[in-house]
Amino acid sequence: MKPPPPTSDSRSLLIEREAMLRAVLDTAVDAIITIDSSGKVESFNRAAERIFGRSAQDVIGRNVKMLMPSPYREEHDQYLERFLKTGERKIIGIGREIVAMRADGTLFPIDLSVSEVRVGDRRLFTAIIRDTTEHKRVEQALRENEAALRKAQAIAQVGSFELKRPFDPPSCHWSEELLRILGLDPARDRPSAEQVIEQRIHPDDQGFIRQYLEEEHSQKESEEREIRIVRPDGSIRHARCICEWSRFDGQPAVLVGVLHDITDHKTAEEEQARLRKDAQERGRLADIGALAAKLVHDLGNPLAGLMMQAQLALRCAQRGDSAQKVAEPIEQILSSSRHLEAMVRDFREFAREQKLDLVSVEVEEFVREVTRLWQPIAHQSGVTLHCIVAPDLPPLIADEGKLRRVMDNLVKNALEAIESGPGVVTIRASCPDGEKLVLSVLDTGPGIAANVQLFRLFETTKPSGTGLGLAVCKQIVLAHGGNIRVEALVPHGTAFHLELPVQGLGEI
Amino acid sequence: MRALLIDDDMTFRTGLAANLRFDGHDVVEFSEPSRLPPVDQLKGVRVLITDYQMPRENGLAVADRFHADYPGVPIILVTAFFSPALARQLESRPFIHLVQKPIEYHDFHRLLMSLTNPGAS
Repeated sequence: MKPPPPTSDSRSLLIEREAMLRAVLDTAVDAIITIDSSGKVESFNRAAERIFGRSAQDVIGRNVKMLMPSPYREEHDQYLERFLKTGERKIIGIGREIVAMRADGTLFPIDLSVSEVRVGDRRLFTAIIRDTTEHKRVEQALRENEAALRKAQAIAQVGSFELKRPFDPPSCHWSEELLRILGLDPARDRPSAEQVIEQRIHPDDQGFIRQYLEEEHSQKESEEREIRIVRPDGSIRHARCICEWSRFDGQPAVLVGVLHDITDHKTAEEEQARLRKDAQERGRLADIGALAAKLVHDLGNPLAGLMMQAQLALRCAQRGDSAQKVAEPIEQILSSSRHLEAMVRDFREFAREQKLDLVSVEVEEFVREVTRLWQPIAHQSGVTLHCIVAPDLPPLIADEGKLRRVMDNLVKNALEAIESGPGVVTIRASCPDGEKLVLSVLDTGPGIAANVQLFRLFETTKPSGTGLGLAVCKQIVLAHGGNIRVEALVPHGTAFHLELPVQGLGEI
Repeated sequence: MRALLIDDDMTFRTGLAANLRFDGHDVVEFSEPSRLPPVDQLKGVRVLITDYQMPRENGLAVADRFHADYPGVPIILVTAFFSPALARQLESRPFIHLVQKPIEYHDFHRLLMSLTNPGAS
């Protein structure tokens, strides 16, 4: 039976509905294309025009395969035919990601969903197409970023983690590198936070992490600590762990953190310390060897002098010379003996291994004490002695007694360099980089000749010097992991700088 | 007899000089070679006694210079640091007589007299 002819009311309603449908189609973000059962395009909305770069006029009435690249283009007619005959679906009612082709031949990814519509005895197909180019680009960028992050973590030996309550596997994210640091297999292992803490963290270091997990509401800043990792094979790795609660609406949401494997660094540091100690010991032994050879000369000389003076005194006495005449060589003998005694004392100090009794030294107090004790001697020589101490110096881990000996030696040398005033000796303490404390002794004396190797054994610029004082100073400073250097001042004068690590060579 | 004595070690130098003077010799002493007067002012010196190791110039260089100007005058080189290297250097300098410190004054004086007055011994 034929449908009744449309009245004017129903016709206007029909026109209105078609206009509405057209408006919906044209304002849709996705491309909407309708084809008939032969594949011929019947409608092509504005989004389709934009996405494919073709006008509706160009496409309507032509086979939809023009919008497809090979092999879809060649296969589409057969596919449509088979579906109409057998109902076998590949896309219709399912949807899939495929590749489409723009008017300029470029290919682009799309999400395609197709539905069948029956209008009377006609079978139409409506395709909704979403251009996923941007989505794919973002996905690709994300994948590349993740790969780069994985690579960077592996290179830097830094792993990361994110933990949410209740800290079981679905709420724990461990980066691949973190699992590797723990000695686990990133492809297989998905441990809970408790398993990691209990099994992979050294028992003595577990407390810090547990406490931080429990203090999620304490508004604590990030926590940083060195911990030990116990790998499944029992080997120990050293790591620096930094973690912080990430908050959402003021509430702790995720514990995020990084774990930096510092084992190699730590091993290198220990090796360096060992090598430094070995080198120091070898240097000390070599110096003692050189010292023995030098002693033959430097003790031989004063001994020869003593013998000459003693024989002279004896001959003068035997001849019946005056007491004053006899006393002259005896005074020389006494003077030389004192010099020899000082030399033996310094030698004893030098030959002894520098074992440090480390304590925490308040630098300002220490420097002011040295200045105070040398003040009367400086005053007697007409020399102004003062100290300049930078504010807020950190305490220094050092052997206070030995450091005192070094400072005494440098201040004494500085005063002797000036001989008699006027002149100025300055003791200065500063910590320019927060890690190295610099103690300097500056004098306004005549300076030291450039060719003098001050820290070498028996090198001295003083007539009564043993040449051991500065060598001992250097030994003490090296034993602290520090350095001592000399600087010529302009227009004249000398500065000795002791550079000492604030943290010393480790724990007290 | 006039002796020229150079040694940077004051105790030894003044002791030896005083002993030589005790025995009636005339001694001109210097703490280092650079303080020596011009060569023509050294006429009359019958012996040069010089230390080997001194801060600025060693005794061998002093001896060579002195020997060039006064070839017949004996030279005594005193040292507390004898070494095979020094022995090799002395092989080509027969005019130098080596004395190792420390030494008894009387032994030194005997040597001095034998060198400056060979016919008397």
